[in-house]
Amino acid sequence: MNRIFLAILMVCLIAGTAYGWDFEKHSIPVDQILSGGPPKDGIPALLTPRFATPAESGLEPEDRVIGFVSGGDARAYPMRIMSWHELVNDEVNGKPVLVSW
Amino acid sequence: MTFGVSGLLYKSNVLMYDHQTESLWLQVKRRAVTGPLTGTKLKVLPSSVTTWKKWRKRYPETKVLSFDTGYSRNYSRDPYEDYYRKSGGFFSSFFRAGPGEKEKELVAGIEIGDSSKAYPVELLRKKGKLTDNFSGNEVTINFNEETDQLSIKDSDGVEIPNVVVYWFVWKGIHADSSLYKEK
Repeated sequence: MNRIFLAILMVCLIAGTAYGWDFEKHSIPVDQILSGGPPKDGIPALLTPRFATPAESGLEPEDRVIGFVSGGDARAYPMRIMSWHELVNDEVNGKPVLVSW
Repeated sequence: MTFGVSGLLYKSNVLMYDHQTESLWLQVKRRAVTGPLTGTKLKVLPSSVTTWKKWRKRYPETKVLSFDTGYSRNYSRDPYEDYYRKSGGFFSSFFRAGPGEKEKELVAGIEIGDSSKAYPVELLRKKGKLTDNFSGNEVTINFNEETDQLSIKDSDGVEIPNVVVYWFVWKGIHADSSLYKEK
């Protein structure tokens, strides 16, 4: 009985994982794609990031940041924000830049 | 093209998706692995993980991503603090660390052709400079303690993009990868 229940649960989990995604083309075994917990967009990526000056930043000296420079434009992405959003869709010098953590 | 969080994982690795085609992208490989864009790669730009103190000192005019994100979240704490401290990962049970290896050791991973190798970040920090040979490739690694900048170059001085991740995450994707050990 337990085993049947487990099998049904597994089927639900796998079906839930594949739901809504187009896996027709793939280069990894799709049965090894698992749900990490939160649903799609449950962790909201930032699409219109706003920036502050160092004085306004509210950061502590030992806070960790991801640093990126392009053509004299330096940007810091605090880990305290990256951990909540994972992805920042930014634009630097007219070019799209994805910051991912 | 813009990206969002799919909520899905492959061997402990985050899968992102693009809003335009809903292809899934494997973060550690920067490559689409399912959907219409399967096989497409993103270009890696050099970045560093450092402290606010060091970054600000080097780039006093830097812009800083604002806590005013449009979302209400408790930015005063990092939600993964406990995860950093724990020794295992969410899905690390299939991984067995080799002798003298720690599964959650941070490594800088590189790929040359079909070969890959990982270098413990703490060791690089300690040594500052390191040269290594693997699969016939000579690589030179520099770690700048003042800026936390990590640079890996081939014998022609060309930068090899590196990814800093936990060892078990890297090994999950690069099964053949070895971990650099001091001789």
